[in-house]
Amino acid sequence: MGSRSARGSPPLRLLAEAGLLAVVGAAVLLDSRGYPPSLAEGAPGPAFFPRLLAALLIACAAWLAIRAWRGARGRGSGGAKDSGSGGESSAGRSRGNASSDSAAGVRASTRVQRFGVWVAVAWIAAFLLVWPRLGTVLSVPLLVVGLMWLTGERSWRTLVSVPLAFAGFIYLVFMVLLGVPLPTGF
Amino acid sequence: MSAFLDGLLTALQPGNLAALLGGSLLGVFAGAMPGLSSTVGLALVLPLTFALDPTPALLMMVSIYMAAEYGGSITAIAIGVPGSSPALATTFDGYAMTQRGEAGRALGISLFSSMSGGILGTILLVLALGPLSRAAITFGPAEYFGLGVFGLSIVANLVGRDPLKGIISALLGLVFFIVGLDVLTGAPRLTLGTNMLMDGLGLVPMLIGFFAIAEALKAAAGGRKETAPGAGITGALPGARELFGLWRTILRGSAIGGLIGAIPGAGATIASIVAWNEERRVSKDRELFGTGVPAGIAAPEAANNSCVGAAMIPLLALGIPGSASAAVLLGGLTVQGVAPGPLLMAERSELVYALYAGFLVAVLLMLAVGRLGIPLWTRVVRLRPSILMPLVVAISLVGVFALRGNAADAWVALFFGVVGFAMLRAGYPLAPAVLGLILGPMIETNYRRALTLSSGSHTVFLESPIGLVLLALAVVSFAAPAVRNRLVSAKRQAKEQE
Repeated sequence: MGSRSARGSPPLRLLAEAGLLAVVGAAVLLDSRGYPPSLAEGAPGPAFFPRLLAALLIACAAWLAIRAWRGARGRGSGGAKDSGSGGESSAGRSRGNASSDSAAGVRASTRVQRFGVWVAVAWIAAFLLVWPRLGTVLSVPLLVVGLMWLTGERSWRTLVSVPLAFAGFIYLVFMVLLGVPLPTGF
Repeated sequence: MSAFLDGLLTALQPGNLAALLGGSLLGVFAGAMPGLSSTVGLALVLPLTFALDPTPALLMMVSIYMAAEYGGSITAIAIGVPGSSPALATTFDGYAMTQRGEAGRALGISLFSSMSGGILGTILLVLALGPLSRAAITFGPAEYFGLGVFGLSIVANLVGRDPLKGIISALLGLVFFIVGLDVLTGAPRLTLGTNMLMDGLGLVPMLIGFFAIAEALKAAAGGRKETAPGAGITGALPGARELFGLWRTILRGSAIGGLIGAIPGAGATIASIVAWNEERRVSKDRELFGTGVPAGIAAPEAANNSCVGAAMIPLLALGIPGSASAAVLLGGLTVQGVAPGPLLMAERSELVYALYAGFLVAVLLMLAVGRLGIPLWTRVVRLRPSILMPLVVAISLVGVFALRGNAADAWVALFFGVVGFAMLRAGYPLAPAVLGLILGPMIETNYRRALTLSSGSHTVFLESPIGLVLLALAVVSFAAPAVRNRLVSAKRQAKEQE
């Protein structure tokens, strides 16, 4: 896991996470100003819970920011402390679990792969946009072939056969067997 | 007894049997594929269940859940990579046996132990569900509030190495639940002024986004490794004498799995590791554990399959999912209009008995599918991620659209897929967010209802003994992992100083 463990996120990233969290908290707080009052005397209204959550989110954001600041200070002093850990013990860092391991797996990706993820997301979004127009039978193979290419598939036989077979499967199972009215296009 | 026999007859009807068999096949596949899991398998099939009646739909889901717990051991034994995290402990001795050329023996032990654990977990479910449901039927808003808070406190067990990030994840889940109309007043909250969000974000698109699409994006980012070729399946299967000779180990493993599985948040991974460790502790040959000991496979496999039935106890009796897979199962119940909780036993007893019987049939089908499919599964699990993951994304999007014929749901699933991927990348666990989304309504609605009934007096929560006990349990459950970690840390530091 090294220095880029879940606790050991770089200070700048932690700061960005804190900022994002504070924005979400502030947005919830602002939105809750327009909620109607409670229906019953003394009982909390619809704004109570969102405001409580907003306060907790902002508190967590502050905690993350403090952790980022302590991490940056640790780096600045050139000590042996792990960045962003806020001085956590190595014993604490050694505790493992599946979710953190998967997080490490994700972080292990190269820049190119990470870029590829966002291209994949854009490709999926494009599919959702064209799906109603092109229809399921045409657009699903395009979605699959694009994603296969982005995840590293280069065998042209596989790139042709799998998407076509899958489109056939979707057509048979969803549209014929289950009778689901999936978009047919045009 | 006659109700159980009726349930068995229901489970054995051709359509239901086909659903159970399909579930077994998909479950073993999802469990065996590194990167997939019972949760992903359940999430993938979730949108398909809308076209089925409640009984076959739920039977298929429990069958997937059961079979996936066994499926994880196939890759754990064959190639030393656990197909899913509950099979982690199985790799210790299972892969060592494979390297000795005894993969067939190891898989046979795993299959028999999984079957035995599955049956014992189901017996625990049958024994515990009725009494717990009867106790919960007297619950009012104060008790339900306590129950919701207790359920949410299990986040402490799901947070991983960084409690703050786990708590933030749970808070985000609670924010996602707020989106839509307020249940008590009908006021729109966080809807951004659009009608599209009036119904809320929806549990099913969130589950599919988090557990299927985020996983696929993770694979696209290189988070999932190709499975290496292993030693393959060689060696004879174990004999009946050897299998039945492991009965003490299987009983111990099942008991541990049953106890841990019934505690929300603990889960099959912890159960199987505890069972392996406990077996090693009581064994005369403890130093041989990890070198290919049959008991080192039997204990964790019995434990993780015993967890399946046990995990259904809090889900069906109280409506509290104790694990990510149970949360997806709750999604399946929601899709079918079945409300889990204390009234389920009274209102849908035929479905509950069919589920009991379905569990047992699922265990037997898992045995058949597992035994006959051993050579096939080890070949299938080498399917390249570059083929599998695009198909996961495509079927998720098509499935979530098919659920209500609503394109917005597919966008919501993509949104949660991206959010889930970003959270995983930043080290935020996903399970607490799902728990927040599920338990948020229980907590908020009952808190406000209780205060409405008491004209705003918080003493209403102190007047309910059950509610108080639940709130106290929540405090203990929330604090326990932190206290335990501090104790372990202090112990380690003391050792280092020595």
